[in-house]
Amino acid sequence: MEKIIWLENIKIAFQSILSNKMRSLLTMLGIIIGISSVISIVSIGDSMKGVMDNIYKDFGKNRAILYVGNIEDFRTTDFFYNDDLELLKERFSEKIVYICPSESLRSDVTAGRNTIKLNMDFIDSGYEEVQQVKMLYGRMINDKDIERKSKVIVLEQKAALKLFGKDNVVGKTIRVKIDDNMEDLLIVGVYKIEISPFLALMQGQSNYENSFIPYTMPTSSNYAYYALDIFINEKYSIAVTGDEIINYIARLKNRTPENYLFYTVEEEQTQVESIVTGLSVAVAAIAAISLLVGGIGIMNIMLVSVTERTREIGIKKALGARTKDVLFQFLIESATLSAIGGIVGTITGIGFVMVGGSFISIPVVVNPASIILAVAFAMVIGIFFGYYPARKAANSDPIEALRYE
Amino acid sequence: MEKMIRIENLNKIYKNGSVEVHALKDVNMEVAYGEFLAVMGHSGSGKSTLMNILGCLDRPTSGKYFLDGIDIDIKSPDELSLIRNKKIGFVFQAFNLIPRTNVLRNVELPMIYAKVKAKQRRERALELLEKVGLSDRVNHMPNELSGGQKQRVAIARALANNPPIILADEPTGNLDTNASEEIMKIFRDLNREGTSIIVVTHEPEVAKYADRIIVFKDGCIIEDSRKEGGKNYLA
Repeated sequence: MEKIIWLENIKIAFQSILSNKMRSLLTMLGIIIGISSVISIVSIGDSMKGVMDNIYKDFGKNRAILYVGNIEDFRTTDFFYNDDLELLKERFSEKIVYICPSESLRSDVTAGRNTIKLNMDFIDSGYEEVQQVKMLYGRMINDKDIERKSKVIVLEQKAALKLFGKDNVVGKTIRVKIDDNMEDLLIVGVYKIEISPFLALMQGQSNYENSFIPYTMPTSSNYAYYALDIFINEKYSIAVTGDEIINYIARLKNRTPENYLFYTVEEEQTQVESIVTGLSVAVAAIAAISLLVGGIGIMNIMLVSVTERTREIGIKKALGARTKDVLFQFLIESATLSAIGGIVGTITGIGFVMVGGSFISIPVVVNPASIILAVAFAMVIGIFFGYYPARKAANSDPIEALRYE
Repeated sequence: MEKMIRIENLNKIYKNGSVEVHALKDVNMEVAYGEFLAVMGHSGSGKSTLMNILGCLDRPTSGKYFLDGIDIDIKSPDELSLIRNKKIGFVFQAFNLIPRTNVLRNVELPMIYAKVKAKQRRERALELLEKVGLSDRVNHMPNELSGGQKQRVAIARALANNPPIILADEPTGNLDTNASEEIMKIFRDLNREGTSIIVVTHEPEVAKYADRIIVFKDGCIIEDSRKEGGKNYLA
């Protein structure tokens, strides 16, 4: 039947908190501020990870870049050539879904009175299958373009608009400078890339407009590349496949695997996430110090409350309250006080992050586990700091207490 | 037959720094079941000290106290709480109702510590409040009641666990004549129903309701008299 006492004590706790609303609120303030800062910091960390995840998704999570590492007695054969690409495609036909030199050219382009700076990324056919490219008009670079080294180009919508004042420019020709030669390229398509606003913010303003050209078009067989852009089949482990590719290319080039580097998005994301986690844990730990201050506030008010209610405690003892009944009454009161503070703090913290998140338009991630943890922690604080005042109340002498005015 | 209360060679000495106050000196006393006893004396005579010891709120310095056959001396504070809860109903001069807590819940309080279920608690509390004539005040707060009403709530609360004895310490001390009479009549009725009652008072008008009067002076009993005709002398 201990349940009866518990229920009654919870009722008494609420009664006492409600009968001193202003004081209860001020007492809870410390906990509210502490919990809301912890919740918002953890949630900012989680949201950052979510944003990062989107950025990496935009970039391609199965993406890797193979490049020539530090080589002392440098040889031109250490670079990658079109023949190497073909060998890699053949050897890893199953594991590599897309491979292309990580290369681009830049040129000024003029149409009528408009001149823009144009960046031309080398791509292979099938690029639209590994990256989010939305075709507005025409088509993407295809197998035939690669095979025939067609003098074609696919423009980004913005480039088309700046050059021609409209975006449907399929069939028009532009003159660009490629390897010191002026070439006329036929526009076969116009595309748009939808990236998260945050990634756009990180990429910053560039003077260059973007476009794609077939990687075979400007190059001859002795064109050397420093890096290769690779997308790994998601069915395979990126790290393991990376090792295989490095071993293969090192053998091909008569080098040791240490001479080649394999950068993966996956690895970077793990690193960045662990940095973000570490940072948010560190900051949350600092914020948690304010919870201690809040706890001391609760202890302070509970001591006042115990003194104020000395007579009440005496009456209750006279009427049969045992030491632990009084102890529990005050412990439950301080735990309730801090738990309410914890709940209010959680709501405030989430509200904070929601408002902030909507301002910079990023999706806010709130981990339910962190809410449960925060409220539980607040209660523990309440019980810890409420124990001393409750003990004082429970051990008071009924006669002294009854005599108290 | 075992008495309700048996006290043997009871001494109580308060130490206040180097000053010793001998509040009770070798007191011997017995109270039978169903007795209505008034304890009288001037302030400082030791009557309040006796009341605190009888109420198991304080312990004697030496001597024995048996309540309903229980040796109080060997009990722990929590066991004493239980004894107070089950055996004793307290009525105080200052009423001592729990503030900001309504009449019903005040009466329920001893039953909460006795672990009585909510429904039975409520029924019993309503029954007791009807008995003291406060059925229409169950949801009032103590500060909305008159002194007499407060004391009636206190009596209802004292009766909650149906204790064999009620200890009333100056129950009419803060009341006017009419209210005092009302309260004492309730005590008299309760006594007729079988509850032992001990009232501490310095007013002869209050003491006259009792069928036995003990007078204290300087920590000793100087007079122990029974009224002729016993319980029925007022009827």
